[in-house]
Amino acid sequence: MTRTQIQGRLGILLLLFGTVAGLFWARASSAELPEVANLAGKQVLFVIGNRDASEESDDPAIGEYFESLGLEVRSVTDSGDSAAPAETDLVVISSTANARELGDWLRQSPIPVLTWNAYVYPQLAMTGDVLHEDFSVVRESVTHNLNHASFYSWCTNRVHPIAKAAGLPNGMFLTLMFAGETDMNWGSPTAGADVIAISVGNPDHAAAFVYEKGALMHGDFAAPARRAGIFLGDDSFRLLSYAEGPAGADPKQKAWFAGRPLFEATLRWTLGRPAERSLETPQFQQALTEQARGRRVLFLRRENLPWPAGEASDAAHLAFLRSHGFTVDVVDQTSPEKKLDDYDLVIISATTNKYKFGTKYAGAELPIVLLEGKSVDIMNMAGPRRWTDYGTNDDKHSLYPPEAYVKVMRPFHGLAGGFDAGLVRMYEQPGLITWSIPAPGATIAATIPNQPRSAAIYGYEKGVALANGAVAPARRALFPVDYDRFHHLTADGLALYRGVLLWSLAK
Amino acid sequence: MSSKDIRSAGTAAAGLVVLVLAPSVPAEPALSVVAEFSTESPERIAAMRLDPVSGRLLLVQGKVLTILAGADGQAQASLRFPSRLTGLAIASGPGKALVALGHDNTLSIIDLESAVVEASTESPVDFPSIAAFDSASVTFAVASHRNPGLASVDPGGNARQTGGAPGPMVSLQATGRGWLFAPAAGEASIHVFDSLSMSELGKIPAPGCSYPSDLALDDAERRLYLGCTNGTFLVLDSDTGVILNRRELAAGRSRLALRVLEDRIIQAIVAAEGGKLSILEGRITANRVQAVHDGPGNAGPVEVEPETGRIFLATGSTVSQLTIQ
Repeated sequence: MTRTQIQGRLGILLLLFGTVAGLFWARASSAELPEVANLAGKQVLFVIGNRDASEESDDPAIGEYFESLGLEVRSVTDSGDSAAPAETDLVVISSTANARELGDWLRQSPIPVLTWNAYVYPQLAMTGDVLHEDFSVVRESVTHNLNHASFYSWCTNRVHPIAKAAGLPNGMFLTLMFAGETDMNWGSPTAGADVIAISVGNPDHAAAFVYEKGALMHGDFAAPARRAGIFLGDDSFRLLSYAEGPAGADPKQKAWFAGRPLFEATLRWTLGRPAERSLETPQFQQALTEQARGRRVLFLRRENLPWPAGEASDAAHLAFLRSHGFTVDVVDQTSPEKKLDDYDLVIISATTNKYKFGTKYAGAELPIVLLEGKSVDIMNMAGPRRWTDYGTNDDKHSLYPPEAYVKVMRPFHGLAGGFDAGLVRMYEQPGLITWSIPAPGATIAATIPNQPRSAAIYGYEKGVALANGAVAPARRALFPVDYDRFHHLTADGLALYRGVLLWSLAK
Repeated sequence: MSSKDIRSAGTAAAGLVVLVLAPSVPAEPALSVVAEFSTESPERIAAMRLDPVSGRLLLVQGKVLTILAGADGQAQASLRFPSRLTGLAIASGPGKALVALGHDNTLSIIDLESAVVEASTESPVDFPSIAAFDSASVTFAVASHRNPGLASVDPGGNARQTGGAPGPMVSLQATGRGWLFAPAAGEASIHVFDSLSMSELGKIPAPGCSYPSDLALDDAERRLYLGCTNGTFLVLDSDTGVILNRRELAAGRSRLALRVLEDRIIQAIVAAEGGKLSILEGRITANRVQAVHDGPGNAGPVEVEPETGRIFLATGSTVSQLTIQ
């Protein structure tokens, strides 16, 4: 081959690499937020209340703020011309709007919505509709110090694009400056939501939460576009915290006074490009085979099981992994924790038992796929209370019956294996399946049908706040397969598992 | 110098009657001029400070510094300087005042008790015209509305200069905790300095303020009150720079004074040069307009007495004493 030929082929290779890299970048960047500079010219319909001058409202200030970002704002009142023109990029609904007057024209709208009107949450199916259970507006409390408490929020997922853009660390931060009364709100979204921050440390009270387009909201209603809810009240926008001057130069203070950055990041996210499903279900097999090449898995199980069904299950599991090309090392649950330098993934079979397994690998800086759903507590993937933070659907101890199906909540997410939202038959027959109520920062791909709070398949990104005060040292995923059920997974069940493995291995 | 009552006590009494007869209908707070103090000098009052310890007013008019009793306007002392006075600050604790002679680049320290100039020194800042006493460093901080630079002068008259302000400033406020706040001239921002090193710690944006004309500080509640020549009035959190409130008041150069009432009620007095005097009041943050007074125009510095609430407004060469009815 001549030098010219080599250069020519190199050029083609570089071109191909550039094209592939470009495609990858385009997909990867879709998860990021649009830059403020790119918001210019976006059309915003701002739905506000018909207030008289004596009522406190920050709507004018918010409108000016939007305009300062380059957004083109059209303000309408709740009882007026509410229909959004086709060219609208975002509908923003203020808490000053009367949700009763709004009607339900936005429920099916393919236009993204950002709102801090808690009564709109149920109208858009972002929460249920029971006041103080599914959503609430925090009223001025009898106890003065209780009002102070409502100024604080806790970030639950610092690696979420919104939290990253806002510079939020996991944990407590200040949303509003104290200057008197406040009327913040919270919502209790479904497992399909990303919860960025919770209010007053209550994991069920989301202060900032978003639904990706396609995510299942309340009543199994798929979000027709992005939906975002945030904690503001009528006149609290001006109190949103931020740090300028000397405080702005201190990273700790900048992260603490993060109310305004969180609001702005949520706005930007809502205006961003929705996530798309990267692979269809049939493509997962090939994709996993490509990913498995050269990858080494540490498979932890109880060896020499007294139950043939358990041996059969692990055997089928190991065959499945090896059929995709993984190199698998099998280690008994009682062996000392191994160094993981040579491994890419740890899989913990449900033939293990935390009684013998202990805390090994809980702090491993390597992705872990856990199949033993009763060990979520020791892996810090759920709280410690059996039957409250985690439990089982089975025919022995549980109020919940054996189950064969899961319900996909996030069809766009890799953890969901490319399935549409809704029911997927995971097992041939109903049987034991574990559930958890993971920490708010978890990404829940699927729940158990009719148990909306019971997460079945979920994961934590590296850096997310886990349960029990821990932080995910690497990706963590729960795929609920009891000790004797792997060989009873359906083809769809295996496809879901491929999604979990692929997501766990992704860099 | 003379003083005269221009509203009788009966006016106040009549207001009281209304309150007694109709207690369920709150009277609109109104500002009343209860006295006017005229000085012998026809010069405009360029600077005025109230010594909260002694209740005396210090007035700067041309080359003269006058000290008079805030209660009745009786003159107590008068000091003449070789050139025009351009700045004034009081250190109540040590009982000292600093005057700046901008045209001479001189700073003089005055003992308030004896009304004697104790020391004079060359100003490290060209054309000094702004000053504040910083109890953290126990020095006067000095800057200029014409030139960059920030200097400190101790009550003994020893001056030193450091890097300081990158440009002209319009006002100085010291927290007493080691920070100085100085809104920049012709720039919508407030600079923050370390009062010991005089180094700049950061800058707080003040969007919509074109441009700063005066700054007041309530360090107990950590609030900055910024008046702007376009009429914008901002309340900022001094620790973070968060703009907690924004009002559009009368346009023109404004001067500010603050008073802390019971139950953490803060009163901000905003005197616009066109004559409009606005009183804003609120718990923790003075954010609601309580009263507005239309004066004759050409309003200058304003001060408020913490205990009595008496407001002193300089207009031309006259000081008006006002109260809220």
